[in-house]
Amino acid sequence: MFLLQAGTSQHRMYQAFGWLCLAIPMILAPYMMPSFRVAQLAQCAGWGVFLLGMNVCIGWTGLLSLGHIAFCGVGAYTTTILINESGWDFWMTLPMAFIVCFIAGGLVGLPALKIKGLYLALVTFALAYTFPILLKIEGGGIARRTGGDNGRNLEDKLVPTETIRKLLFINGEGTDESTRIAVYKYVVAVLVLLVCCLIVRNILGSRAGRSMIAVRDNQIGAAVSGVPLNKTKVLAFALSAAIAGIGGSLIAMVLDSVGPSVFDANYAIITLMGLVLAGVGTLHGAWLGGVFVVFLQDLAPRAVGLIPVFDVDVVYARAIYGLMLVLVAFFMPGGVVSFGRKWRARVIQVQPKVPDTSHLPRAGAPPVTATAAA
Amino acid sequence: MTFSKKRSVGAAVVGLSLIAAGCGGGSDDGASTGGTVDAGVKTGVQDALKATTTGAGATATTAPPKPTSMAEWEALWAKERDAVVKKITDSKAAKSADGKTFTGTNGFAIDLSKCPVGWTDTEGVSDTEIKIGHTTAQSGTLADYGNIARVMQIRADNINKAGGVKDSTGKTRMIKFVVKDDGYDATRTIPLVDELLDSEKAFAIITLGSPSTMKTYDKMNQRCVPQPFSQTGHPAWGDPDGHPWTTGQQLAYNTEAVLWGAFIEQNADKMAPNNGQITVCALVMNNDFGKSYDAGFKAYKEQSPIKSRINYVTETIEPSAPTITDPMTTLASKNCTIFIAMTAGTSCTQAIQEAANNGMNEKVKYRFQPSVCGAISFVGKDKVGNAGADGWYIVQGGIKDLNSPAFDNDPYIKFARDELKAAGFDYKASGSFGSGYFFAWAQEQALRVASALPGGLTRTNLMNAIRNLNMTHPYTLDGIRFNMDGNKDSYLIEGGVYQTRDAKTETWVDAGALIDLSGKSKNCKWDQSKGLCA
Repeated sequence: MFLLQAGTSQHRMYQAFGWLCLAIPMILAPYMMPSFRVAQLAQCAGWGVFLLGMNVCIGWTGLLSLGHIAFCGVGAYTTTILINESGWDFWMTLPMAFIVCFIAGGLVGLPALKIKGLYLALVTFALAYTFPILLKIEGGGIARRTGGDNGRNLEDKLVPTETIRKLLFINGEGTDESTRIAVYKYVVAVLVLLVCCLIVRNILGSRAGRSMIAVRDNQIGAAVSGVPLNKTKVLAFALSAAIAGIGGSLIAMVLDSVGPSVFDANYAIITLMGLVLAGVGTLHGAWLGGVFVVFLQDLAPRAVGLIPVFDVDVVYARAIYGLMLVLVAFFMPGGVVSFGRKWRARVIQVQPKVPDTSHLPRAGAPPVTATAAA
Repeated sequence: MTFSKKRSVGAAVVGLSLIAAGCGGGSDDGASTGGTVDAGVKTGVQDALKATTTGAGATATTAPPKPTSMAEWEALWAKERDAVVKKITDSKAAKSADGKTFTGTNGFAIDLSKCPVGWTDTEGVSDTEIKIGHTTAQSGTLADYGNIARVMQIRADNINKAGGVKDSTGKTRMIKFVVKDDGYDATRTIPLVDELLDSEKAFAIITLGSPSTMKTYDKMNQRCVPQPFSQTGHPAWGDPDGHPWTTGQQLAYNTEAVLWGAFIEQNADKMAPNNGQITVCALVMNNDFGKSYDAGFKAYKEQSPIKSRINYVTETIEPSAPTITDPMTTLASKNCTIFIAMTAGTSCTQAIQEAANNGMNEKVKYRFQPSVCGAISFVGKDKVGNAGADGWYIVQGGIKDLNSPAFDNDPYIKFARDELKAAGFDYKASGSFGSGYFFAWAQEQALRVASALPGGLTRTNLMNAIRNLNMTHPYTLDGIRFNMDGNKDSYLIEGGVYQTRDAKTETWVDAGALIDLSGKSKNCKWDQSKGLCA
C-alpha cells in the first residue's frame, strides 16, 4: 500500500494522473467511436447535467425528489420553443432555461418544507407523472406549443461552423456530416457538464453548500447551529431544478427534438436508478449515472440477445436493471463511485495535510488570560 | 399573512394545479393533430353513402372475383406487379444525367442535390443482400408490437428460402432485417436510427409509432434514405413534396373520424327524429392517436350541415390508466345518442365491459369501436363475455383479422397461420401477428417491383415503386385498393366499411357498402407549430 502526503509533489502527480485517466478517454472517444455512439455519449452528458441537479437535491440536501424529470422537461421545452418560435440561439436559451426552472423549482420546493422523506418522494413523483399530461392540454394552445404526444423537432439545429470544425479537427474530407454534428454536440454537452460540475463544486464548498449538507446529515443539529432550514431547502430545490433544466436543454439539443415520453415517470425511475448505481452525493456519480441511463437501456437488450442458451427474449432485458440494482445493493452499497473509492483506499491512502499551527500558541505557553476569553 | 401561511397557500396552489391537470377530460376546443377535413374525403364518403341508399352503386364496389388459393393470389400479384413496372417504365422515370434530380412517375420527383456528400442510390444493397433496418418496440408496455417484426423476419426467411428477390440486372438478393428495440421510446429511436444509418448503412429504415417516426423523418429525408411503410396512421406521412422518402401504409386516423361523422349525418333522423339533438359521446385516449381521432371528428362537426344538432362530449383517459370505469360512468350519464371509443389496446375491451355494466348498452344504440380494435383479441368472447360486443359498430380500416374464425377459409389467412405455426408461434398469441402480415406483404411487393425496374433495386426506384403501387392486398377486405399514384395520391389505404358485431358467430357483419376513398385525401404537409396539415 502506498501512503501519500497531501500537498506534496507526489500527491499532485497522482492527482494529475487521475484526471488524465478521465480526460484522455473523454477527449479521444468522439474520434474513435462511430457517430451514433458519439451522439449517445453527448446524451450521457446531458443526463449527467440533469443527474447533477438531482444530486444537489437528493445527494447533498437529502430531499428525496422523484419529480426532477419534470424540470428537465421544462428546460428542454423552454429551449425548443424559444428556438422554434422566437428564433433564439441555442446558447441563449440555456440561461433562460436556468431561470425558468429555478423559479419552477422554488415554487415546487415550497411544499417540500412541510413534507419529508418518503412522502416527499411520493408527492414529487406525482409531478413526474403529471408533467407529460400537462404537455398535452389543449387549452391555451399548450399542446400546440409542445407538439402534444408527438413532441416537436428543433427547427434550428446546432451545426458546427467552419472555425469550430477546424478547432475540433473534424474538417477533414474523411469526416462525414453526421460525425461532425455528433462530435460538436458532444463537445458542447461535455463543456456544459464541466461548467455545471465546477459551479456545483464551488457551491458545495461555500456557506450555502455546507448548509445543505448539514441539513441532510442532521436537521435539528443544523438548525441549532444557525442554518436557516427553510431557506436552504427551497434554495437547494430551486438550484437543483435549474441545473436539471439545463440538462433538459442539452438533451433537446442532442436529440434535436422533445417529446413527453422523454420526461415521464418511467424516466424519473430510470434516472434515479442511474444515480443510485453510480453513486448518490458524488460529483462523479452524476456523469457516470448519465452513462448508465443511456447505455444500460441500449446495451441490455443487445446483451440479452447474445445469450444463446436460454433463448431469452429481449422483452426481459429490463430484468437486467433489476438484477444490477440488487447486485449493487449487495456488493457496492453507495454505488460504483464509492466502491471505487473503497478499493482505491486499499491501494493508495492520502494523508491529509498537517494543519499549519504556526500562528497558534505553542504547547507550554502560558494560558490565555481570563479577561481575553471573556 | 405569516410565512407559514404563505407556504401552505403555495403548497395548496401547486397541489391543486397538479390534481386539476391529472383529472384532464372535459370538452375544450382548439385543433390538434389532423384538425382539418379533407374535402375530397368528405365528398367521397357522401357519394358512397348516397350510392348505397339509392342502390345506384356509383362507386365501384363490385370486387373482382377473389383468388381461392395461394397460387391464384401469386399469379394475380405477379400480373399486378408487371402492370406497375410497365406504368413506371412507360413514364421514363429516371435520374437526370448529372444525378441531381430524380423524376419519378406521375409528378413524383426527388431533389438529390441536397443529399449528403457520399450518398449513393444503392447503399445497403450488395450483389447478394438487401439490408433493411427496423426500429420497433420489443420491450416496454407496447412490446406486443414487436411481433410485427417477428412476422417480417419469418416472411423474409421464407422469401429467402424460396430464392430471394430477383433483380432486373440479373442478380438475386436475400432480404436481411436488422431489428432494433426502442421500447416505443423516441429518445432511444433517434440513436438507433443513427446507428442504422451510419454504422449498419441500411438501404431503408422502417419505424414504428407516430412519435418515433415524427422525430426521425426530417433526418431520413435529409439523408435521402427511404423510410417506407411507417407503422403508424398519422396523416403526416402523405407528403411527397416535403418528405419524398417517407410513406405510411395504414388508414389515416383522421379519415376514420370522417367516416364516423358521415355515418351520423346519414343516420341523423333515425337517431334523433324531428331535428332532435344528437349527443356524441367519445372516450378519447390522451395520445397522438386518440387526439387525431378527436380533432378529425371536431373538424368534421364544424363543417357539417347538422352542426347545430350535434352535441359533442368527451372524456379523456391516459394511455397508462389501468381502468376506465370513472370516465365511462360519466359518459353513461350524458344521454348519449352515439358512443365512440377513440382509444386503442386494452381500453377498447374495457369500454365494452363498462358499457355492458353501466347501462350504456341499453341506452345507447350506436356504439363504435375504433378500427384498430376490430381484432378478436380485443372484442372476442373470452375477453368481453358472451354477448358483450354484440351490436357494436366499427368502421373497419379495410383490414382482415388473422384470429377471427370468419376468415378460416381465406387462403391468405390460412397461409399466414400455417407459416406462423411452422415458425413455432401460435397465431392467436398476439394481435400484432396479423399486422405483421399486413406490413410484410407490402414490403415484399415493393422490393419485387423496385427490383424489376430498369436499373434494378435502388433507393429512388424503391420510393417510385411504392408511390405507384396498385395492387390487391390479401389482408385487406375485398374492394379496398392498395394504391398510391405518384404525387396525386400519397396514401396506400383509404376506405372502410361500416360493420356490426355478431357475438354469436364472433364476426363483423357488413352494415353498409364498402366506402372506397382511394385517391380522395389530399397530401399533408405537416405544420408542427399549428399541429395540422398545411
